[in-house]
Amino acid sequence: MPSRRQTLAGIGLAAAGLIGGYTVTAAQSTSGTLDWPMARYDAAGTGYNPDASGPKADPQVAWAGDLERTGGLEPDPPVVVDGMVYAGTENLFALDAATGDVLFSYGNYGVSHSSPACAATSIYRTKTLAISSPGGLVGLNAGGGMALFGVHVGKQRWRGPGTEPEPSVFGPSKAPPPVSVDETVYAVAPTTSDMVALEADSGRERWRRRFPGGDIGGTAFRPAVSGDTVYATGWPSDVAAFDAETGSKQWAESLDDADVNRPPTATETGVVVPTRRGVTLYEDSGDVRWMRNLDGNATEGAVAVAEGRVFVSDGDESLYALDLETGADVWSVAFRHEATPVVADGVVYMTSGAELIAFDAATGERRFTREAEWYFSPPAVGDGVLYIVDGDQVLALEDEP
Amino acid sequence: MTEEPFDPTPGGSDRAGAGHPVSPFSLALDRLQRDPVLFVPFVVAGVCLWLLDWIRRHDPIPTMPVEQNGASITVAYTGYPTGVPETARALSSLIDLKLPYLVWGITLEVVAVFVIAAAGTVTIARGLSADSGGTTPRRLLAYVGLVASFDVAFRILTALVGDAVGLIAGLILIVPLFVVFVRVFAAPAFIVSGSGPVTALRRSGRATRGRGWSILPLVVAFGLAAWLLGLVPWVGTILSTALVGSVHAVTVAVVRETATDGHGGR
Repeated sequence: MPSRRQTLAGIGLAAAGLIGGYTVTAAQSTSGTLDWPMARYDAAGTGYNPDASGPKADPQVAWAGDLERTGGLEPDPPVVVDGMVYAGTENLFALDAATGDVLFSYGNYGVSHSSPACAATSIYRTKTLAISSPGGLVGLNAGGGMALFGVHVGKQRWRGPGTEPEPSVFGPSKAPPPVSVDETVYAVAPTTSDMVALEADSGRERWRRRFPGGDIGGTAFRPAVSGDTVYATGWPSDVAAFDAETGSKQWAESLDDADVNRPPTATETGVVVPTRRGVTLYEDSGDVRWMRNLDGNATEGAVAVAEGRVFVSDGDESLYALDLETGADVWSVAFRHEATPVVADGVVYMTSGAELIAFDAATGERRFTREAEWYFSPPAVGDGVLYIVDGDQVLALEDEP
Repeated sequence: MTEEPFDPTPGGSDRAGAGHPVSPFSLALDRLQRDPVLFVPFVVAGVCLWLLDWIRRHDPIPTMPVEQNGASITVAYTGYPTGVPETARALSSLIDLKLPYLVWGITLEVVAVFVIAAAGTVTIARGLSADSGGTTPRRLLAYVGLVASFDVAFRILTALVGDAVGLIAGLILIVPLFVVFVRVFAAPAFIVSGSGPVTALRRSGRATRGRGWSILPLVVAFGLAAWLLGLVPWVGTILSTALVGSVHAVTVAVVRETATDGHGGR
């Protein structure tokens, strides 16, 4: 048997060899861009970064990055982290936020993978991107890994919960994007209606809760996290609040006469839950603070909440700005589409298929409209820049200097 | 399952059936029956790997999930005697770790390799009836080199091929892979009897010439058995390592002994 010293010497040599190769990795440079680390900006799902600002008048294309393939009728929104834009249709690409150059791409996670959510990590030098793919939740190395002896390794860190989807002529159903708070990822486990909390470092489950509608084939939407609470909604009628740390249920409601078909948004006042016809604000205790029937017919999208206002499309006729405290109309304008609004520096950005429309957040006045070549994703907003996927491209849109 | 007809074994120390075609597998079982101490190294290794499983599950570095979709079977064969641990760590999950975690993660993998190499070296040395050298640190390090090069080759192959390979391409790839497995089958025994890794591979290639069809079922059987025993909840790591590791190691010794090249161990 080898002596302990020989064994340790062998270990030391092996470690030194790998560390030697390891230092070749270039550290991620961080430019001065503002982060938009997940779909709808934050874990609460507000769609609003108070520090960001986008174009206000007729914007110009600062750069266009190539995604190789188009992403169907509903491309996923890009995210921005540490000077990189992550966007993709079939493959997920990392582009330089300043130039649009593709820096690297991640393997094939299928067309139905979600937008990534960027999470902090305590054991890695680079952040972790969590995506939902049909085979499960996946943790990616935001730095793209490294080339080791000519082979590129280290793009995927872990594969978390989820099961292979049943084959379907419609293809795998699209999983909602995960959200992240510090080093925890909250998500709907792909192909289930289970809400899970994972460690961003390892992908291990902290807790898992079967969502009420899961037993009857219901669908759970992107969760919203605020403080110690994870809010979740699920078709056809569920609204629930879980403890973020333990997963224990704080309260649950069943809106039997409503049609809960969109994700919630968490605010300091409570959680905003859009339904097919209208929108409801629940207080932290689960009591209804206000309920508005907008007589709408919305089936997709989400609401944005910024500076005390709720921006919501009724999916039929109007875009509303409602007072967060009371639910009263602040303004409403004609808008005949479903949408996921995004708010920055007094402007509400809406995409509906082939159109990007900017409204003044204070008045509802239309600022500009831009046509897509293919179809637009919901946007992400940086420092004077709006990033948006248009078919097989990512565009950085800016006001003319 | 592995009672395959075996070519006559000229010049070997075939004590169980001189002059009769006897499979190395039954010779190995016979040897294990007569000397149960041969099981000890891989039982100890199994317990060590089981402890490493526990540590991997509780440290903060990601482990690979156990792929159990019920629809596929796996031949868990790696080229040297070992078992199937319940946890594994992908190389890609070590990339960009902060230094203390990287050192920790690598240390666990290195310890796992040393444990298996030590068990393999000791068992094969004892299993070689004509062996005179015992287990020296030099032999152990050469064995570690062999195990490490097999592992690196596998990881590179996996990284290159990935999940993208289709059924047809996969089947085409499997043929040369199993040819290589058969040809390197006896390499661990040549290492233990004193050859360097490259010489051991060359000698193994010679020693297995003309015996491919009798060794192939062994490769498949050991791979299947290791995988099946590895599925046993909680103690799968210990079971697969202790049983498959031991039998595989002694079989490798027998194949090396009964080879026409058998006299040229040094």
